[in-house]
Amino acid sequence: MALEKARGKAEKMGLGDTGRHIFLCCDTGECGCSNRDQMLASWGYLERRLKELGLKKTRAVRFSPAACFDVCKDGPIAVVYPEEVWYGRCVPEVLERIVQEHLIGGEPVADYVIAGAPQRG
Amino acid sequence: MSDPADETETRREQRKVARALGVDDIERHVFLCADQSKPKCCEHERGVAAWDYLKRRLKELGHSEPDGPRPRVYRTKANCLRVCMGGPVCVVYPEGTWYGGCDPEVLERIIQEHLIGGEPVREHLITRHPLPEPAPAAEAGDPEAARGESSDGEER
Repeated sequence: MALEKARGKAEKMGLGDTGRHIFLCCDTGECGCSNRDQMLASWGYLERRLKELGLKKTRAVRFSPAACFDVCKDGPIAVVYPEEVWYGRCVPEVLERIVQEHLIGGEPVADYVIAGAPQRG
Repeated sequence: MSDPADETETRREQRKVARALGVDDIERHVFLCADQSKPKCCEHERGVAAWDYLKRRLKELGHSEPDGPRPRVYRTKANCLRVCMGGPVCVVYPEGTWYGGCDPEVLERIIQEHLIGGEPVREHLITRHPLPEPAPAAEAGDPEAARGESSDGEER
């Protein structure tokens, strides 16, 4: 029964139509990749920008807060599927590039890639 | 932002950590909604029990360990996947398969049949999320294009 409801909700949410999915570390309790204020600022920025750019409404990009990815260094850390690209230092300026170049443009941002795609720097 | 030279050094260290974690070898990544700040899809303790089970079983079976058996599986807690009912909810990539009711018995099946065996567990599916084709280099198998994409300072 609960599963049926969840299926209905998923259909309403268009889980079947979404494009890329970005997970951003918001583990304000345990993870040491960034501090609480930075994590919340990054999450707030990502959410706001995806809304402003209409990517939330069109379901082109799904975004979820995640707990620790175990990298715990120079975060916030983000992971983007389907390419499975891992990013470091996801402060708002970097997230803006990830949104524009990767989530919209399809090109991973090599300067901040830590795994899963060509890296630069 | 900090000094660009420091930043490059940090990025190198960070890439080393990722290599040590075996991030490049991950074949499946499961995100389980658990320990939420506002538990909605299931009771808080139920989500935590599911997470503990998933983590423990993958470790016991060795699939979450960098030197363990293939396929290599990574697990991450998600704070909320926005389905908010019929939980605990999880999503498995790269297939984009969403599951509900992920209590230990169901998780055991997801682990054995899907994460290890590669076959989604239909009875517990919420939906499948057909992802776009992986974007760059791999596109259309064109070796010229692939070289062009990766020529700029690639390290890997």
